[in-house]
Amino acid sequence: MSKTRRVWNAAAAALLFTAPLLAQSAPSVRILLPERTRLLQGQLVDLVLEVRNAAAVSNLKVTAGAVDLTAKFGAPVKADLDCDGSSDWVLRADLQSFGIPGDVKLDVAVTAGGSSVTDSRNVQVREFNPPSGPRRNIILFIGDAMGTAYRDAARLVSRSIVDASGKNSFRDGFFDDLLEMDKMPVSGMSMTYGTDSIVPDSANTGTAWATGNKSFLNAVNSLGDGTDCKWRFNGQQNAATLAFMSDNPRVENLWQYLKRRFSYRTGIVTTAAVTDATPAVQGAYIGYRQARYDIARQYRENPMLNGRPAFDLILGGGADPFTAAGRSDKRDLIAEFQSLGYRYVTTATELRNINYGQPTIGLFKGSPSPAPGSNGITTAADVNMDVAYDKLKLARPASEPNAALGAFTDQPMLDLMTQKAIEVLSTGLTSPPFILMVEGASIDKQSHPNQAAGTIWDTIEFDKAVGVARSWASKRPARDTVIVVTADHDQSMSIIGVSNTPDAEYFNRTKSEKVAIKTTLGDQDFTVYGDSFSNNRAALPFINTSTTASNNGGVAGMPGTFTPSNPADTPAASTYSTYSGSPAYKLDAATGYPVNSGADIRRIAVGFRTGDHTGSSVPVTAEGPGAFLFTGYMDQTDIFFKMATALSADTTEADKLLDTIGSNSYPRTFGKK
Amino acid sequence: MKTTIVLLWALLTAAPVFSQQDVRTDPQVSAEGFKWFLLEETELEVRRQLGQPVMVAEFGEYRSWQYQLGGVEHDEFSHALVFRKSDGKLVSVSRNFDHARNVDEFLPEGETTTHWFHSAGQPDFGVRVRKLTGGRVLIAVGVSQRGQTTSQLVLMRESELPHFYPWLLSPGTPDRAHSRRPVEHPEAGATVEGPQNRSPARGTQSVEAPSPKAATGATTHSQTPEEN
Repeated sequence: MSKTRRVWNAAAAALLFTAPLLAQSAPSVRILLPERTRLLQGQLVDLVLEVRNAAAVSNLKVTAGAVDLTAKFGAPVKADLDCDGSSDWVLRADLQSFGIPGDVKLDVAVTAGGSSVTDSRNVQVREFNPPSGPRRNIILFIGDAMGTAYRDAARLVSRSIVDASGKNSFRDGFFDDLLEMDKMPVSGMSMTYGTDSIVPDSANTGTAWATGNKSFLNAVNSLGDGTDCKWRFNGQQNAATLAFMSDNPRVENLWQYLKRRFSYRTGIVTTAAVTDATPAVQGAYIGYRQARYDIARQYRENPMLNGRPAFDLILGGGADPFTAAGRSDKRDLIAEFQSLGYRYVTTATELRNINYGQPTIGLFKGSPSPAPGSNGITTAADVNMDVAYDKLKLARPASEPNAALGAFTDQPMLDLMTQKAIEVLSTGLTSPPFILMVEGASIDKQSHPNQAAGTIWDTIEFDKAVGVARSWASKRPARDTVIVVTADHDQSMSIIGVSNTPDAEYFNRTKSEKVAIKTTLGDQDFTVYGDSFSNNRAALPFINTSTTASNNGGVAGMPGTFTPSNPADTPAASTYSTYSGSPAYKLDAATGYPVNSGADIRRIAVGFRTGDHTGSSVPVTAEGPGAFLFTGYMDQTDIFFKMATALSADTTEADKLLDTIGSNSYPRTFGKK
Repeated sequence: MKTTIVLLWALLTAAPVFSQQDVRTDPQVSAEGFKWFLLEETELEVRRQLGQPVMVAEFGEYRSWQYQLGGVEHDEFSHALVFRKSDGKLVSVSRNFDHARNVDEFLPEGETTTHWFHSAGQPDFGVRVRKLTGGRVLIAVGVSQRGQTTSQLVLMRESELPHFYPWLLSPGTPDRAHSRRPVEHPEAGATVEGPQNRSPARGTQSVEAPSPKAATGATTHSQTPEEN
């Protein structure tokens, strides 16, 4: 090899090895908007630019089509993006909007460290012009984690009622009466993926349907940015990193958008703490869902509304971050709301007695002694309302936590909260239109610890709330209210049959067996409780306990060994059948809910694969003007735009067609009255 | 030898703050048994101890493994471990407790300093910091004096503080670390000299703010527990 060639080879090798380094250190600019950004015309969004690897920044030029936005941006601010110590900069133009519908190309050019760097995004801006006449209302019901199995379970439990004569309302595979949400004329499915995971949480799914844009786990109406490394990935969410959760680009949600631009009244109703993720996406903007102080503060002084309150109505649990005792800044947000004319209620009795449109905040549960949390961004406890199963005082298995209503014995059921919310929001002096979100929160919260009855009874409670809204809307003189029922994400429960587990065993969770699974990849021990023997196929990890060939050998087919501590008590030896028979429950006429114990009860059998969220699509049902928009498979962000379209577009002809399809001239499902 | 035994005992009893040792357990039952991290563990060693993380995220030069072990809220992670991608080094372990607990036993007086994070319009926010051997620091978040409880403990390589907690390393503050005696490395059974060239911040100075909107005007100073 010649000397020249060796030199060239050495140079080439040097370039090869240094190329990644050079690429990494090259200046760049990035627009912090997703590749597929969609906005309504006039919807506010923070335009944020991140410049990396530059000692200095100059000559910024930002255009949106023919419009020069450069002057909207503030001066560059030094930042440590990606936590890598490089010299980076952030430039912001907060709360901008695009006024003309259409596709807008956002172009950025900037001199960074002596180099000219560029970036661009295509932003789809969708028209929103509500009709000049009477405006429409929208009520969005979110069953948290209410995938198809949860709706099915609620139907099977609440609509398989045996009356005094022994007649079951679920016979031969048909129901006499379906769930309220089953009766809505339009159905679709919603894909719930986030930007960083196919299994999402309530925050980024809420961001999707509240703003029309996807984001990352834990994000509340905020997009990812380069300072997320300060808190998001290392588990260090506290007051010292709060600023880095608060600097993410914000996207205005439909609640603030309608209130700011069209004077809609806004409300949230939830059985969770009202600062929990699902209600939070209606009124707050922050990267981390657990920053409860800031979420509560933004309800009081919303950034999209020039510091005005986000809502005319708030009903739910979680009083702590609204109290001076529970906040480290000692602000009494309840008193601040009251000074603005809000009515404050704390019990179901008080809630029943309200009947006009005064703004209302109702917090029905909190800590007996609220206290700040040590992380400086939340309270010591997040207190959700008690679940329907406990409010109804139904017996729980011994191993599940008993209801601890404490001093909060007079908590309203979700249907009452929904009824009063509609009354408050719809009865203003000028009869303004309203937008309301109602959440059945503990469908999810009871599913995490695999407490089947808790999650199913909450779904039944949720469905009763849907019924309240449907009934109210049907009595309106004009068809002016869109009702949409969906879930934010799915959970892992599946319906696997019917269990004839007697009360004595169902409520005796001390009867259990320990199962050891030893594999070459690791060992796991599990406890299978007596009342879930019939659920073992779903409860055990990695395996199906059935030994049939069609199940790949079940236990025998799994890698490693399967060793129950008591071979006589193996799940495979369970005598319970999960594949035959129908459920049979009895109704408590006093409450309107089925009971879960007593003679001749046949319970449904369910299994939980993980006790956590899943990436399955979730059902959507809709009723009212524009309901037809919610048919078919859709992305969760579409729900935002479909709701907006249902409020603004002339849907008369399609609504008529839907009425025709729902008439007796066409096939109708039994029980769909 | 006596010092070695005492310090070995201290480190072992301090262990519960970080992770459960035994993951072969019913996921619905809080795990028992804990392990102390040295920040020398490899990814394979961590995987053997804790199993597969619930979530893996990459950011910049780092990789994060996040776990949900024991009794934690479903949307929170009990442990977040951060590795540096370039060399695979474990740089921090964060332990989030579902219920705040007292961790005074890990933060002995004389070895611990208290720092304050100031943010405009917000109450002061305290953390207690103890320097450990091997260039590590132990940070109890949200506590400023003995007897208080915390829901967050962080074990971090001191070299990473500039990225994650720069206000803990502001220059020009008294170095109280010199008062510390050398401590034992329990696994190696050898005495390792504690770090001496870094000091907790003291005094008031500006802290990096991420953006104009989020600018907090944050400042920090530190003080020893005795000054509280």
